[in-house]
Amino acid sequence: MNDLSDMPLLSNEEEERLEFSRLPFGGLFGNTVLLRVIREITADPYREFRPRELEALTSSSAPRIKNALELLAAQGLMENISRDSQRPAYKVNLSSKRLMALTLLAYAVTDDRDGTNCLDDAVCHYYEEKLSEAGQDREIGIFAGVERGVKICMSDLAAEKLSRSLVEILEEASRKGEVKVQAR
Amino acid sequence: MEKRKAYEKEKPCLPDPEENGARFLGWIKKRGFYATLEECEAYCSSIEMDLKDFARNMGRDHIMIGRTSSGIVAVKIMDRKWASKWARDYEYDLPHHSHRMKL
Repeated sequence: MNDLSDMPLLSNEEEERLEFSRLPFGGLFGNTVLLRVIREITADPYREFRPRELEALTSSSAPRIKNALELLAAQGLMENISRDSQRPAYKVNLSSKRLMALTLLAYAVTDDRDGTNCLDDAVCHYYEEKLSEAGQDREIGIFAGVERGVKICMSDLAAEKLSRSLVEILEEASRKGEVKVQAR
Repeated sequence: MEKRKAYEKEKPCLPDPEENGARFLGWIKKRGFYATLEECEAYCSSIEMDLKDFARNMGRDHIMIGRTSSGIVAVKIMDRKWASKWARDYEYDLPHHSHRMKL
């Protein structure tokens, strides 16, 4: 599929949708570097973000990406997790409600353009997972006995705190030589 | 009017895009189901995924790589319901999935 002529041609309507999709949130707030970074962290908030990758993803310069990341960190939407100041790496604050709101906004933009129901589905999902009685029951739960092993369910915030604590405990123990890390 | 249910709790239809494919579907869904190939490849390289292989394996009914009249190569999700269900199944549609954190 390297030859352009082998590829199907998009219709005019599809071309318009593509152009619309190239603007963060359909161009509602403009098309600044900051908005392009926000679009990227909203689209996949689970990975580590390194400035160089974001430069490619947002077609932006290094100083502008640096400014955007620092601003988002100051806002509490991102956190610099690198100990090497020369090689910053950021992760997204998954418990931020603004991140959830931005995700829903991204769906709403598509819905308004195409008359779809992405937002409705996401709101239903959010309700089922977070707000409904069943979702609340999962705030923290430890289950054992049904099958081998123990299953622990907890809220995002609890999981984040637990993971941070575990990392600190393991790093401290490793420094003191109390545990050995074994590659598997 | 009958009340809508999110994805009707259906099992997603095959093909299964697998973890990275579902991640890509969640990403492109939040960009409106369309993106240029250049944008997609920049994203896919960051998650070590071969987009063209993925598109070929999923089939043109699900994901299409096409071109505009001006020669821009674009990726379009053809089956949005399929994409949405798998993105949700692998928990890439909403940002609340702490169990995916690496300890």
